[in-house]
Amino acid sequence: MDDRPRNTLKIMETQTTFDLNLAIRRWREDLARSAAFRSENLNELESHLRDSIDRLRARELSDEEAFLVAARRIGAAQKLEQEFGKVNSAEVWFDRCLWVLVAVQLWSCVASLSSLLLSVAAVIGISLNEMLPGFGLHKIEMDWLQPGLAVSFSPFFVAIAVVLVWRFFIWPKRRGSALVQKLLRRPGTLAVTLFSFCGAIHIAAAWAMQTWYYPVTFANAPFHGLQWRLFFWRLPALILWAGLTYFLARKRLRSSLA
Amino acid sequence: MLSKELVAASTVPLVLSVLTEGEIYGYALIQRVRELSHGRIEWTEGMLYPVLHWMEKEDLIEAEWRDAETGRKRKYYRLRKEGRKALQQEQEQWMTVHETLSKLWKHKPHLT
Repeated sequence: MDDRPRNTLKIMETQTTFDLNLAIRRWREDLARSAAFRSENLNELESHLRDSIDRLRARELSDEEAFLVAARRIGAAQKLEQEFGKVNSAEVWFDRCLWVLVAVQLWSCVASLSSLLLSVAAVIGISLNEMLPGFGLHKIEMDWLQPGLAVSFSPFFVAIAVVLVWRFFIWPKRRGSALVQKLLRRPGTLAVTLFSFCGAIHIAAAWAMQTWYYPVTFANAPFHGLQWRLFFWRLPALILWAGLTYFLARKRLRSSLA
Repeated sequence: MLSKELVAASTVPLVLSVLTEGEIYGYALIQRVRELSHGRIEWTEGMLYPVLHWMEKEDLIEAEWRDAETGRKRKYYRLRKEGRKALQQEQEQWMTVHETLSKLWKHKPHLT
């Protein structure tokens, strides 16, 4: 690409130091946040922008003026995203799948956290059964009903799930924070982070259930490592999720960055 | 200035027609339409590309990345057989509208 500002004299004249290439890169990165653009689309739009800037500069506009006019003529990011999204609908759906996957993994953490909470509650002797609707399910058939499943019915945790879905499914499309963007550029880190985070919480929850909740709640019934088995049963699922996250994040990286 | 609806309806026939003059890249295509319409057809420039990509998917046109004289890479679009057919249909339809309106307006030239 054309990396060098041509009219260096003009840059010297103006007092403000405007870096055209930096401005173009920022403009491109702003668009790249959305999954609606494939890298080829961005290359084409950038090529167009540079052509447009060249022509405007030939008409005595400064670098900054030329950039602003050219960017405005190309159109607002939101509108472009809408139209490109219609053509690249597969990419947009892959992106949504990625965020659903992230949400699913964090949701499983929430479920495990609730087990931790139960254990702590059992230790300090508070019966959550009366406090939160849905927890009563733990009373029935405890040996076959997974705590996580039971908690899924609780409106409290459903509310958390809704927030998670909103945060990771709808919100990042428009504005993704710096951290989320950084993680997206390193699919390996993203997958490993999620895997270790989920794994750690699952282990902590299983350990707490084992040592606190069951002995207190079912003092008479003996337990033989049920919760540990549950954790290892979850392990393949965790690995599968991490793998899928890695795959989708890489796909997104390939399609949206140069 | 054309209305939004008319811009949307006329983009494909305009693109197909410009491409009959030979292959061209997006920016030059927009310049060509602006020039021919004396600046009266103004597109939001970026919006042209999704249309071009849709036409590419529909096999109306084909595209190729090539180095331009500036050293920058550009995507050149070319008309395909299906595109010519589509253009013919478009021409018939637009001419029908044009002829009908022309007949109606012939006796009332001052519309303001």
